[in-house]
Amino acid sequence: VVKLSTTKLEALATVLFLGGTALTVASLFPPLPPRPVDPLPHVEPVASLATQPSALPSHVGPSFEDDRSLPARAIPVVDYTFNVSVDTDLHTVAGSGTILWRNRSTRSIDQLYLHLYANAFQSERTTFLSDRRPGGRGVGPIRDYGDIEVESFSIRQQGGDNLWPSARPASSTNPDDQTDMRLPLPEPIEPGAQVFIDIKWRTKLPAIVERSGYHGSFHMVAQWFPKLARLEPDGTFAHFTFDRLAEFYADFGSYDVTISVPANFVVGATGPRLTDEVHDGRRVVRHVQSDIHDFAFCAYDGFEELRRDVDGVDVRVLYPNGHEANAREQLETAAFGLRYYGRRYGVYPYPTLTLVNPPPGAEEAGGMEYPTLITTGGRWWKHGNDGSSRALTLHELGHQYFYGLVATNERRWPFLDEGITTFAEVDALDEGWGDAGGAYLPRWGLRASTVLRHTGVSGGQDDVIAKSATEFVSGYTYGRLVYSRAALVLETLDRVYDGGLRRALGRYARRYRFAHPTPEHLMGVVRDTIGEDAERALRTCVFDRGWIDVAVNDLSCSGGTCTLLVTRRGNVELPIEVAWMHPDGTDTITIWDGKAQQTALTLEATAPVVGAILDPRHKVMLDEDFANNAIRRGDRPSAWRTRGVMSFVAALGLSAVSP
Amino acid sequence: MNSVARIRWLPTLPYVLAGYALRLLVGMIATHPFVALVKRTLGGWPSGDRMVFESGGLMLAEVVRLHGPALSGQFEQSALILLTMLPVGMVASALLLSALASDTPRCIHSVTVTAVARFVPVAWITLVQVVGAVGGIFVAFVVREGVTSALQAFFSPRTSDLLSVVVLLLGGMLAFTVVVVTDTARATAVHVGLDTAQSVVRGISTFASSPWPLCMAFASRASAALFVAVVAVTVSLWTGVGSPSRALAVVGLQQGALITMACLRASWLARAMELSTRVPTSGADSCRSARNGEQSDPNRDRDS
Repeated sequence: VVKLSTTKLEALATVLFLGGTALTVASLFPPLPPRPVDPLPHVEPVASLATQPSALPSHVGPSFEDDRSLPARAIPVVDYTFNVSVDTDLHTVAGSGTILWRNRSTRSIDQLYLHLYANAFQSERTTFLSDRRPGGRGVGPIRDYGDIEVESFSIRQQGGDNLWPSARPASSTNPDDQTDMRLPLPEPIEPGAQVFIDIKWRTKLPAIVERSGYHGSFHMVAQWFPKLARLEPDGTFAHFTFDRLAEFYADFGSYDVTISVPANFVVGATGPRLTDEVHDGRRVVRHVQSDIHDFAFCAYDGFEELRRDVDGVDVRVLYPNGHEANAREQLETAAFGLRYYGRRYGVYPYPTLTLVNPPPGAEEAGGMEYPTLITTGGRWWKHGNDGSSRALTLHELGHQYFYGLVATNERRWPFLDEGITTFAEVDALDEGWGDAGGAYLPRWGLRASTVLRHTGVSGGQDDVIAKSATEFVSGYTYGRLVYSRAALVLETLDRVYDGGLRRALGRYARRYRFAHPTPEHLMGVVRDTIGEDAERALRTCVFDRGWIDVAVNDLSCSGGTCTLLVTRRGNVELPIEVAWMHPDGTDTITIWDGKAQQTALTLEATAPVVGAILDPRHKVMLDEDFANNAIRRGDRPSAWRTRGVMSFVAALGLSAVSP
Repeated sequence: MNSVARIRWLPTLPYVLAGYALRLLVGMIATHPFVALVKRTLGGWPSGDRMVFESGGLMLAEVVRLHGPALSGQFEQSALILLTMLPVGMVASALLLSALASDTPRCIHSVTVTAVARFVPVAWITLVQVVGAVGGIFVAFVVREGVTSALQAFFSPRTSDLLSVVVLLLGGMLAFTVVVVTDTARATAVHVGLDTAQSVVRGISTFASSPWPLCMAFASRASAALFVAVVAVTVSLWTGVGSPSRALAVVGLQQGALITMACLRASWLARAMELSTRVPTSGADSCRSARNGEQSDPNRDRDS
């Protein structure tokens, strides 16, 4: 028998306890389920899946609309064929090529509008950089300006002369802003006619600011080329200066872009890569994609790559060294998202999806959507229990179905993109990961919709949701209302009408694919799908600062009749479930139409009633206050669980300061 | 090595439990506003405060959202209460050390007299401990930021982050050393009757003369306490508080963990006291000890 000294025994005990502690701590972070949990049941029967990939797993859930109604192609308005060369030392992009533009309107066009978005970073006098509204992206100082200079712009059908010298800023309010340029034409372009435009330009990328620019050798090349403004059917151009809170709006068409970068750089770009050649120390790649309305690419000599085929879509993740776990999670999340959103909003029609994880220092380039390319982000350890990377991936991927395919005017109606996409993201997280959507520990998780309610209700009714991004007084208000509150409104309608909003959005996304709808189109679909009450509630919420707080005022019982005095505060009317609680824990559910501001509800009770709850299943997520929804007869229960746990936490802290 | 008496902590269990009870009481007082707020917020719901712990976090988030400013104030108030416990904790610590050093720990009067007599050095050394340990960790975090930035010029972000953890470990080791030395100094201050400076010197010399036994004595108990706390938290999470029986089990487990940790603490102090007596006393220490006369021969055999 070996006799150990006290010190050696203590050393052994130390090792054992530390090992045990490590193992115990590890059990606090269980791995995510290998695949998302089964979705909650829905009342809507599964529609035809004729055009869905056959490999869709059953756990993704039902489709709410027939994909056979999907248009196969967008009506092309503008086609870009560019050759561009990236100087990664000077951070410039030299481009030339041809634009084929068609006048799809009913009027002849005598001037064109071009967006030169990169000029937003030209000087402190631009509308973008002189914007002093607090909050939102791009508020930090810019370390290196950027701009775009058009060297020539000629129309073959109009003599081929360089027309650019006659181009002028279109903004009447800020002559120093050259993001929106008006170009008079020598001859009008008649309805139905098309022109070929030869163009040559040079873009100097800024240091990373608002999604675009360079950081070290990483180059995120977005909003980088002269882009024709969208021509509305009535012959007017949707042209605008680049606003810091606003995003974009453009016509559909095809992009054929050949990109030259140093040979050691990896390129990620919109659409499939048709060629990839290296000669004379340069890598030349060609990407071609139709039915899209923008094109972005990135180039970096530090990218690593993950790749996977998801039901015919080539999903590629580009990420910096050390971020593999994060990238792998994003890849799995994107795979789920493609299937889930495909069921909800129509099949993803493109052959590729590229996820770009910007390197540290270039985080501002992350969290943005372009057709078939999204930028994500997150530190290398942000995966697993922390759901932020999954949420970001699902959000940006969700944009493909609304910003990308439905293609609303993001500047004029930002909630149609960000609000609906945030709802889609939270819905996907709730359905796919259940209570673990936000974060999770053993047997406890933070649900994504919980986070949504917190931010959406906290946003209050500061302003109208449905208005132009330029009209918001701050990025904070914009974020709270356009993202969170709009999504919370949709979440509420979906719960109150038992999945109705998802059915409506499924129809909306399919019916208006490639169609640039407006809020009225959404209202119409909601009315058709759910009903006029739902449409009225949605309209009130987004156009009229809608809010609601249902509250219980009193509960009394006399004989066999119980009376519940209830109040609905706010201007939104929604049907409310009422649960009458019985002593044995069962309940009787009735429905209050929620139209009266205050009313007395009665129940001819067959069993004693000991309490009542308005909206017991938390369907009205927009409710300002859940605490006043319930009443019980008799004493309040003591919060002994809370006392026990909290006193333990406090005593643990005291053990540190009071040894 | 000197022939040293074994100092047993078990006879001081009443003091250990009194310290635990004091911490529990203060903890309940500090968190009472939050508990009352939860009770009033969710009192109308049949599930009551159980909803706070439900997975999904809906009602927990609701309580936080509805009472954010109030909770912020309550949090600050609770933090202040915990801070004010520092001097109270010094008294409790002095009483425990006095009991450990006493031949008659059940004699509350003599234990209290000694504790009062040695309170000043105990208090000063406690402050040195807090400042030293917290400062060490704080400096480590500050230095780590710079080290991480410097490393990123050569390594990937992940490698830089992982390498810079070494700085935190160094800070942790510094804090560890400070706690070991100052705990030993406090034990010496009561046991031998030295003043603050002499106690610290004795703590340092004890550490210098027998670092391995001293560190292992502390590390074994500290790691055991850490293990117990982590197990209590983990099992609580796995078990949940959904049913009354589970909730009661969780509360019982948590309180058991707190008592165990208090016992481990007493065990460590007894061991530190024991080890400090192995260090040959200097002439100055002996004189001082004789002059104070609070304690008899520190090398007495209390096990006999």
